[in-house]
Amino acid sequence: MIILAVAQNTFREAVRDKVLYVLLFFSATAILSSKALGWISIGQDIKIVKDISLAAVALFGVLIAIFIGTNLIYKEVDKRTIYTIICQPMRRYEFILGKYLGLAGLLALVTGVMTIVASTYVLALGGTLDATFFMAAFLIYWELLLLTALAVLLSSVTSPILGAIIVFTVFMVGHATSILNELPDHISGAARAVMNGAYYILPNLSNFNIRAEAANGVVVAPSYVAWAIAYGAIYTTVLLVLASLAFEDKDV
Amino acid sequence: MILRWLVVAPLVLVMGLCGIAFTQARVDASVSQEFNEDLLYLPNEQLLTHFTGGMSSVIADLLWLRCIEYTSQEWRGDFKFTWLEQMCRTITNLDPYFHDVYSWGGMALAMLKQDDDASIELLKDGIRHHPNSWELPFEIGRTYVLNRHDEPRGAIYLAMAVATGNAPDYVVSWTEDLQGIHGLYDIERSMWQDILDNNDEEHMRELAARKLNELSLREVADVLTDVATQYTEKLGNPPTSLDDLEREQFIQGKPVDPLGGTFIFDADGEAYSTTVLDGIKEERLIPMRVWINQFKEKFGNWPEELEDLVGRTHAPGVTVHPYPNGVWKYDPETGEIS
Repeated sequence: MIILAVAQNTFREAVRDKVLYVLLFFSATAILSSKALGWISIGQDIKIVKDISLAAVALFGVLIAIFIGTNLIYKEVDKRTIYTIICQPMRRYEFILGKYLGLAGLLALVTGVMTIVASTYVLALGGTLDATFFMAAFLIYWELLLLTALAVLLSSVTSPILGAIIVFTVFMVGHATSILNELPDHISGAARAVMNGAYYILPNLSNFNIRAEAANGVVVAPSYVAWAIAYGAIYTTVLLVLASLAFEDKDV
Repeated sequence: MILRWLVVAPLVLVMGLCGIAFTQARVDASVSQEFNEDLLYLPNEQLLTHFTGGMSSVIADLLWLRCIEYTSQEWRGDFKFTWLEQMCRTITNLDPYFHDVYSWGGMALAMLKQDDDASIELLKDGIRHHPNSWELPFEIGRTYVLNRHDEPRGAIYLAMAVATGNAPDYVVSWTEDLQGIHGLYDIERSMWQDILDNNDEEHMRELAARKLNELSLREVADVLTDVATQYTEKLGNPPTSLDDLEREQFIQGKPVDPLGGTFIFDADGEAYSTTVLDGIKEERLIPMRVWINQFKEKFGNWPEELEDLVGRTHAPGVTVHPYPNGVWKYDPETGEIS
């Protein structure tokens, strides 16, 4: 109940943030202007619109998660509003979870709206949509949940700027971890073992990326999506537990 | 104040824009071809795939646009297409499902750059990602026929295109012609016999046995077509049934189909085995039923007519009935097709 109250407040606060609307505006502009590229693409206009739409949902979702997520806890501490909150009868982990769920709700709203805009636009242009398109949008949301959990963790232990840099770096590296599992033969021994270990430890965000399949109408097995969701859920849970522990130990 | 905003500011703006446009034109003019090609060089597309932050599909789209522009430039310029393969490879590494890059790139590499090997390799990669595409094996077949004048091998790839069940009629017709001319039935028979003798899976052996029977029936149909041609030359009109051939003593007896079918003739006197046609019909019905169900799932009702499937489902067109003058029996009340 307390968690929900914090979540509602966080959601309301985040919805009022002007950064959100600026990012939404740029996202919608990117989606709607994607047709311009399609005109010169020799019959690939719908594919390009789908590609850019899903990329916009992912990129602007990540920016929202970074800008709002890394400020989430830090702002409360910095403005001293945390004192009025933690003196309430609630545990610190409830505060963290409430904050996280509030932002998760906001991201659900944002990705939902952007997906509706994108799919309406594709249909208006005469394209067709299949289940893979919506699976791709859902996995983008799942990726955002993981990154938001990381942002919340960093927000409770470091400054927003450093947190934003780290989350963005993880976003970029997280899409490149497969390189650690496809090492050339000359890397062997301990170095190979460390890199292979890092492959399993670092967040593999490529798991949530089926955007190429969605744009090309390739069917994705539901079992793949289920495993990707399970992966994201476990990783997010671990990050949220760490965030709670970090906030428990924090002197405010 | 007014003077500043009404005169000075617009003047500065106009002069500035003119200056920018002029400078840009000079920059464009001073770009050498070599510089342009250096820009195209993407040193390691495998690594590039890893560092796109999940945006590889969008980057593939942008490179695709650049590829079209580059091809157009080369068409009007040096006609070397030096970077075409590299660009296609990079795009397909970034987005392995980008079908048109395989088909268009394969065709451009073979026809424009005359690089058959690169074309065939690219198209084979495409087939791995799009096994149901008829265009990709068709392009390989076309490259073998037109560039290498290797019709037997071309016919094999054209047969692969036909086997997808999506190939248009002209591809089916070309394939049949090529197979007839080059005696490819023997190759086909060897391949199916190999599966029948050596494959571990029972259903594959059953399929091979059926295909071998169909192959024999197709050979009989070819012989009957030749006989029908002689009949037409003599009597002025093609036979309508085996009875005509038997009555005029062009054949001693009617050929027997062990699978229970018979042989029919079209208006031009071409003979067909009904067993073979029934097999093709069943193969073509499979995707049709999928598209009809797709329509039902999407719109909540069965399509009024089969043409409604086109553009609203994944159907590229209404598949042609294999029987001469045959039409699909479709019931819009139940969605049943036969």
